[in-house]
Amino acid sequence: MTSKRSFSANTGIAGKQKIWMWIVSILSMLIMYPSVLIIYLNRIISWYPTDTPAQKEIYIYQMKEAVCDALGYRYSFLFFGLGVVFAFGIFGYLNNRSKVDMIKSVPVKARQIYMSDYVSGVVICVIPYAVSLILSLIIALGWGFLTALAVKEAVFTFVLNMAVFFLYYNVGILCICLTGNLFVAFGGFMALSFGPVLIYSAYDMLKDYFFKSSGGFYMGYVSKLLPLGYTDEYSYNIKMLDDFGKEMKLILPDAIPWFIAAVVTGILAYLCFAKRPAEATHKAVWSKALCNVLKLIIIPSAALIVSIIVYQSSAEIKWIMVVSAIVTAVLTGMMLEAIFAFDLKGALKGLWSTGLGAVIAVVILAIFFTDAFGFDKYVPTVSSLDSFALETYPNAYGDYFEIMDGEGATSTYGAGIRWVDTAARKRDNMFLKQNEAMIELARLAVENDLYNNQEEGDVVRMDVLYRLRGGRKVTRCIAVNRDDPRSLELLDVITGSDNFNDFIFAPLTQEDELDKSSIGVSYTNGVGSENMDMMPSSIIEIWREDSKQLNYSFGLENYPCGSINIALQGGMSYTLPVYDSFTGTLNAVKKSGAYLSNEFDASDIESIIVSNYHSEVWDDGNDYYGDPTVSVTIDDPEEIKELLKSMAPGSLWKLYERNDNENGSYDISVLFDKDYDYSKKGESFYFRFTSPTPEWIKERTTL
Amino acid sequence: MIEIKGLNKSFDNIKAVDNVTFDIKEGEVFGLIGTNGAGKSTILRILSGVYRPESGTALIDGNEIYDNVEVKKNVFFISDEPYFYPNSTALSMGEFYAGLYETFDKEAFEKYIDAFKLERNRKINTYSKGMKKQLAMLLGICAKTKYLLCDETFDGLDTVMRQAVKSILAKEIEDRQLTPIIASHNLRELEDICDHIGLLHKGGILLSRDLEDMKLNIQKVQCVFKDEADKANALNGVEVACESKRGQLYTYTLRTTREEAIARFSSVDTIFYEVLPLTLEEIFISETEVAGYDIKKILLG
Repeated sequence: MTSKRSFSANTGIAGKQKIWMWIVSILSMLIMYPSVLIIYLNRIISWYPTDTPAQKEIYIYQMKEAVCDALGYRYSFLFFGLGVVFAFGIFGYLNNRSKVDMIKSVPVKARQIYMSDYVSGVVICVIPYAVSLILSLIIALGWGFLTALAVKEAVFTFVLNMAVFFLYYNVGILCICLTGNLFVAFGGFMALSFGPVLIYSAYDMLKDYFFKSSGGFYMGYVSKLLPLGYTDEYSYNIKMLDDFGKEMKLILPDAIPWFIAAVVTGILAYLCFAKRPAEATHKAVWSKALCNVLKLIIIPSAALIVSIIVYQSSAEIKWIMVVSAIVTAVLTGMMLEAIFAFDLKGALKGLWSTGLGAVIAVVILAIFFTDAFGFDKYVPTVSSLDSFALETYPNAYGDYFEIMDGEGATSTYGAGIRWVDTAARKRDNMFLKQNEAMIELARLAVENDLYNNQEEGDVVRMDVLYRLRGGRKVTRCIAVNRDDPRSLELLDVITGSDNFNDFIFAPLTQEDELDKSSIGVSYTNGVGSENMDMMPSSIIEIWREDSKQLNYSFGLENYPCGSINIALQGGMSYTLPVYDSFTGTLNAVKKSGAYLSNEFDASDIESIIVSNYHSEVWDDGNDYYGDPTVSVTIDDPEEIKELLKSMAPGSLWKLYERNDNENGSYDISVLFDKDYDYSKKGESFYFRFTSPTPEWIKERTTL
Repeated sequence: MIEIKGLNKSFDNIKAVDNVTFDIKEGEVFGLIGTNGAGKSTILRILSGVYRPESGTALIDGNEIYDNVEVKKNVFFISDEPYFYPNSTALSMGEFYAGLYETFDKEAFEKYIDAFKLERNRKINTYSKGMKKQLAMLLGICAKTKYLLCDETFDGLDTVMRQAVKSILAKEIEDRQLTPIIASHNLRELEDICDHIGLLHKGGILLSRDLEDMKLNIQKVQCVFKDEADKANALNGVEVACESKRGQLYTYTLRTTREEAIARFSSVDTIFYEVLPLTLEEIFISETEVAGYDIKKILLG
């Protein structure tokens, strides 16, 4: 509660000082919401005709969409900007000695002055925003295009924008309260806002440079550390959901940390305000202890960031990295001391803390150089591991479109279709339980020192996310030797599970939705395509049975003979590979009359052009000038016949490839010579070698 | 009553107030004298609740001041650079303070600003330095607080305005027992207004005395003696704080009452003698010399 007197301190002439903030806020909000809405709606009016009932339907749909878009767009940077501008505009007086004399001597409690000022900043942001939103809703309602979805969009966006505003408003106030000079306060604000991301990025880069098992699933820490990155994804995903629980599940994991950060910085800002002595004015940082803490955070951070840049540009020489870290630490320490003292001569003070900062930087580098904490040796114990997610590269069936059963919401992918990042889907939803197999696989990598011997054998990297029983998540990029039968056996245990395939082949988890949303099912042999008169769920059920054969070894050794294609709106589709051994699926395809053989007749082919890109010329950093590609045209029927035995349509993807597969260097273009039942005359198709490249082809394409 | 006991305040390694102890009684005008950096402003900021004492106590009517609203209701602080909101006018600042001080007398304020010819609705940022000081003083007086803390407030006022402000202060003191504490580096500025003087030097207080007490017990006498015997008789048993001679004319600063001085010099045979009033500066010179300081070096450079 604020007293009458504290209120008085913010009305009249004192309140008039904030008029410019009102103007900034009101103009921003009016431009960003009602004005943008009117622009969107006018654009739809001028773009979409309404002459026919169908056109009118599209027009109405687009108008409703425009309302949703206009009300749901998150202007994160606007609220970031308002937060910092209001913080400095309202609390900047703390660096004005005359005003501090006045404010601190009048009979109003410091707490009341703080609350009164704090609330005034919030009000200046919230009221114009709320009024603009209400105005937008009235405009949309007046035009007859207001939907429940649009209201929901507006409310969720409001909540998220407020989280950003509060966070940066509080960070701004905190920095002003910790310092006695606006430039230093702004520098502190930038450091607090962007520093954690820089520090985390430096940590991530050091891991990537020096830990061989670094990598794995993207955990989105950068986005969590800087909540400005989320704009479209949230708005877009919220729009797709009509279930409150799902919306909360999507928003809360990221929004809650922002609110927590806002609350924590808010409390810290108030405590610093309460503790801040009036004599702090015109000092850089008023607490000597804080100066030292800042030095011990900033010096190692700056030293590590600069050393990483130097490492990148110095042919990755470690001792140069260390020297650059020490030099940067010393210079940063001197610079900070000069700033703290507002005197260049002050640069030579605080040498012990500068030295300590440099030592910390060097120790951190040493930890990374030597892997002192055994990062690359990490293998969870059976008792500690709850579940895990595994990304087995490569796989070509990665796209995942979630089909929504919403109220006709659309996206660029089509009505009711939402693209989902497959890695993120696995990270959040893949709970594999073959823990012992996974642990043994990881242990084999460590015991055989595969990270240092990746060139020996058919070693591949796979991303793992270990979910430990305590709730901790650990990511690694493990190495697997596919020449080792035991490793393959373990991989098969993991990849042979139904649960695993659910994450590789999206249709397996969306049978019912596909029946409603799919626009057709077809079979292809990689060249031609025939429609199948089947519901997606029917063919998926049969394919599911066949897919029990699928595991890593199967995918490594077999090439598909065709694939089932389930078409979605917006030109998107799902593909299920079909192998010769998938008898149930092939019988269903044949029964529906859609079967196309994968054995092509040489007489149907006019010519085959084989190109060898000779990518080996650039191996080991060799210099090569010019285009090393050698192409040969095969038009002899016998040679074509011979070649057809070892190649297949390129659109049929093999699940996994060997590292030593030299076929990747070849490109095969097949030109059919007549109208064929699945091709047009003169149409060429991309093929790939499925077995070792024939020697005679190698000879003819020699550089 | 203001009680300061063992007060200390440092800024980094600089001791701004060093173990200062003195009291200020209600209804008296207290002058805080000292050079720049002597600690006057720091003491006033502590008394107004801007600064928190490092150690020792500063009490107003027996209460701590820092963040104490009830005490601050009785205190108005005019800093050496008074703050006025950008684009504010005399009236709007009056409104502002009226919202903060329940006792603020708007009627009197408007009357005063008209009397001082400070345009009511002219923006304060177009005022001269002296006008701003007048306005700050008027705001402080009209807040009707018990204590008025003025930091170099008379500096920048012309003689006429200074006298006008002093007369208002005198009236307020008479009417409602106002207790002004006036800090200045200029002795002459305080001469005709203060009842009690505190002399600060390097953060510490050199002396704190009632001006009247000082004036009563110290006299300046100019005299031409007929002979040395008369001189010896006149000065016998009286403390001579200062003696100078120009030709036959002696000038003495004596620690005694005016009556006793007249009695002594009239009882001996002199060619000429006169008991003159001492300026505050002269009183301080003699008082601080007793304490072992050279006031000329302290205050007058």
